[in-house]
Amino acid sequence: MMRLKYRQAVYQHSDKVNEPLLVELDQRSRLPPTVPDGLGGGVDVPAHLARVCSPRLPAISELSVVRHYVRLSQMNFGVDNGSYPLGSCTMKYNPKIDDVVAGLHGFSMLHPAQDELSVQGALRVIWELQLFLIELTGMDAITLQPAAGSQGEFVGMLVTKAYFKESGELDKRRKVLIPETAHGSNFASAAMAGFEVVPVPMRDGEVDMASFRALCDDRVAAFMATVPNTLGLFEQRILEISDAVHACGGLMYFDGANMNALIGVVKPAQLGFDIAHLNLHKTFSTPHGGGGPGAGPVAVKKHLADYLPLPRLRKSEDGSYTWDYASRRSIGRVREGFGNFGVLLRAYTYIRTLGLEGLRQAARDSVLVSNYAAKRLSQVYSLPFGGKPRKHEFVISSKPTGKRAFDIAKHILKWGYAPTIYFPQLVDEALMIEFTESETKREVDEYIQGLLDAAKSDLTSDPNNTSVDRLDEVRAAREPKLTWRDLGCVEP
Amino acid sequence: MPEPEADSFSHPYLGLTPDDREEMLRELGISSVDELFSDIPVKSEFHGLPEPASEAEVYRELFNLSLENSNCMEHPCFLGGYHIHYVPAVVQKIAERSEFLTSYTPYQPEISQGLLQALFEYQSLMAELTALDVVNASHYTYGTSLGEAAHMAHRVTGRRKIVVCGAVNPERLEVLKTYAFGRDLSVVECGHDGESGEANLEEALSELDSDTAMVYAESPNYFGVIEPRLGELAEEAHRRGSLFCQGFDTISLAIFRPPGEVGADIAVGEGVGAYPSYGGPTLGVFAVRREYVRSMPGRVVGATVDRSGRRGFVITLQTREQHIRKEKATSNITTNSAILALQSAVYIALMGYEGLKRLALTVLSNTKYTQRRISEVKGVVSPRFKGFSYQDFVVEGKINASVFKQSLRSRGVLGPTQINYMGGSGWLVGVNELITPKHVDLLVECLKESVEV
Repeated sequence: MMRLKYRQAVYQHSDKVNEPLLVELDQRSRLPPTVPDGLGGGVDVPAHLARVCSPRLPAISELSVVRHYVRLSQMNFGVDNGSYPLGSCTMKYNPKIDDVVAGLHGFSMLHPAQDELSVQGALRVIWELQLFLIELTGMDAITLQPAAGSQGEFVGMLVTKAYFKESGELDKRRKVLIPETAHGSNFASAAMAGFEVVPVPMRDGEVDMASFRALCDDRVAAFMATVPNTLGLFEQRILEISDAVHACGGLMYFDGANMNALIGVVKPAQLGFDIAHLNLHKTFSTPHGGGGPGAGPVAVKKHLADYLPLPRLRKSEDGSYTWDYASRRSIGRVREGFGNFGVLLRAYTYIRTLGLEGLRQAARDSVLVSNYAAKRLSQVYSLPFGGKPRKHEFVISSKPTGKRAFDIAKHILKWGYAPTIYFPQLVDEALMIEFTESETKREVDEYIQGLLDAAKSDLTSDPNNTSVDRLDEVRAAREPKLTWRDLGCVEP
Repeated sequence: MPEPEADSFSHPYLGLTPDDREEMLRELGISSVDELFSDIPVKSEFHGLPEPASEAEVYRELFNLSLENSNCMEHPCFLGGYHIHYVPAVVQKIAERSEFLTSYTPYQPEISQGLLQALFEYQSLMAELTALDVVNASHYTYGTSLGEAAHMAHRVTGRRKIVVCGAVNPERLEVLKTYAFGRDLSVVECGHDGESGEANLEEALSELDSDTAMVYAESPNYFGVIEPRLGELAEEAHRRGSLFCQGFDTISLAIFRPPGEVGADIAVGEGVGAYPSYGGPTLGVFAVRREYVRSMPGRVVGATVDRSGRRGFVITLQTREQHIRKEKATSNITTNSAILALQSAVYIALMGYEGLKRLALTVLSNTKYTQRRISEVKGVVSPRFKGFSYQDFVVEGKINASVFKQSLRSRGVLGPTQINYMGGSGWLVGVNELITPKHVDLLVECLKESVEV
């Protein structure tokens, strides 16, 4: 088999420093770029309002700036460099047409305070995307405002809070049940909304029904689940769970970060969920940008629609769109503007190019490839809760190999592979792998071979093909150096 | 249309061919992908979703749709509240680099040094501009940074009251209130001086008490007025054991007193170097004094060394974060605005201190010029608030709103917008370095047509 070897760019400035920091590139006497002259001539800033200490910002020529960042880009790795099967993150191909559309000036240069009449084209995209996502989740109403999945969770929890506040039950309903197999953000989001978080233990990788039943009572505000869960398993008794939660008067929350397994296959509403968020930067392929931006729309059933953030988009009889700011019950805004429109545009373009058929095939392929790789890797690694089909991702443990997941992760960087490790914390020495539908069989086979080889290799000197060697993360946390001033690069 | 044969669908975005799928099924010893979904109790039907379409068709349609919008580069724009500046071509080109754009959160730092260093530099540049010690690697927006600041102040002080002083952007205020609802905090609003538009300090001070977690003010405020007495406010807040948080405009920090110089504990603001894209994505800056670093929400990048002693960068202080600390985390934030942090850094690197200063002075000059020109219109007061203003200002007069809006629309002018405030209503005008005398002429004409004498 052909095997790609990867060696990352190194621009070595000295023994101790690769590419210098901007402040080390300072060309002090350089004049700044030209900006337009003021129309009103010079204006003095009154002394009591004026800045006293000068900030230490470098002055650098344009080419030097360009080179600095091009070099830094070559010291980085993205989906466009190679396969990136980072579990839980859905690093699929980000189609270039989506970026081109988002960059059209008729979209990118719209001011959020513009009159609705001047942005009808943009509003139509938002409207249609809302309809698509409502259909895919099976819900009745949606907000595209949340800027990321976590913010979507926060919105869902605030909607829950407002709903029970209105019904007069909030004092009683303080608990949010969250399976141990959920994302960490679920716990944090419920806490941010002021709820008491109650973890639900698992059994065989799914919710332990006996524990769940013991916890499910009329003090429950919501059951918040990541589906499929962080082990890549579908909760097979989800209908039973949602019936029980509803019987207690609670709401069902669907964390859709893992929706890539289910898109076009099943609607969360039909699994009994009342609220669902989606991660457009995962399932709908918008680029992660090194950590953001994302978009985390929240869809809800009819009885919760009035609680969604404002404003909400309305379509008039004449076909025009307007923002509606009137709802007594809304939780209010969760950000300025109307959502991460640039991200929404990309997701809309993605849905239009793939269509329902393509979305469904993507889900099926992501699941197929995940089961295929899990099976092959289970010859050497252990696959907890074997025998159950995986969904779009799977978790293996390196324990049988006698190697630490950490060392394996550093070793396989030599092919550019960066897996998620030690998550979920439920599995010892966990490696969490998610190929997505984008990779070819050859890429998948190469990755599998890499992991199989790693189990037999000496890993102690890895990585040695990246722009730096293994980094001391403990030292970074012990004496935090968070700016170039902390590093002593500028005089105090 | 008959259902297509299962798993025969091919598309440029999909890696597997029908043959690959067959081979994988054989390895798994099953005959259909359906078997992998046998654990799902429901199979849904979908209606109203699009058919697959070619890139060419979709592009043409969306290109034409984009032309139905009036954009703020083509049209004179006097919208305030959210600030647009020219984005140098370098910034756009660097942000498009695939190695950055298609990368994930750098959890494996050795292979992600480029982005980590860029974020470290962003933190350093913003720390210089705000004159504070620590800046995190970004939040979603200015307003969500503010919401997180309130949660942080509650965490640090154990108190529940947030005092908002003076004219604060109403959208941001709403975001603050939404976040406050989450942690059951109360938000108390204190007004502005009717003449100057500056925060009414006496009113704010009377609200400070032993349950006050945080005092917040913006400068420039919603009326564009630079708040002159933030130092006093910060001092009084500290005297009562509360934190002081200042909202700021990034570019204006080159000429006005930054949060660190007035004694702020937290500062929140907006990024630079990106076009507005109808309001998002954007970036929320979050800066704090060093003593609060471990209570700070959000991701942060720190410097360290590798095995051979070479400088390198990692995400650090992660035990504050949700994937480790769960419900005890300092925030639920995961995805942030990393690529916009990179854009902000490239922008500031290109401009340098001198460049930012010149730009801020141009905006200031254009503010005064536009104010003066509008004040020549009979029946219009410009600026309505007499405090020293920058970028935004309010005009008031007997302006017929519908005539004015129609007049602006017919001349292709975007904004200003009508706003209400204590004791009246007016129009919020925003300027930047892109306006020309011709643009201002148009605005003045529109006003003249709309004033009721």
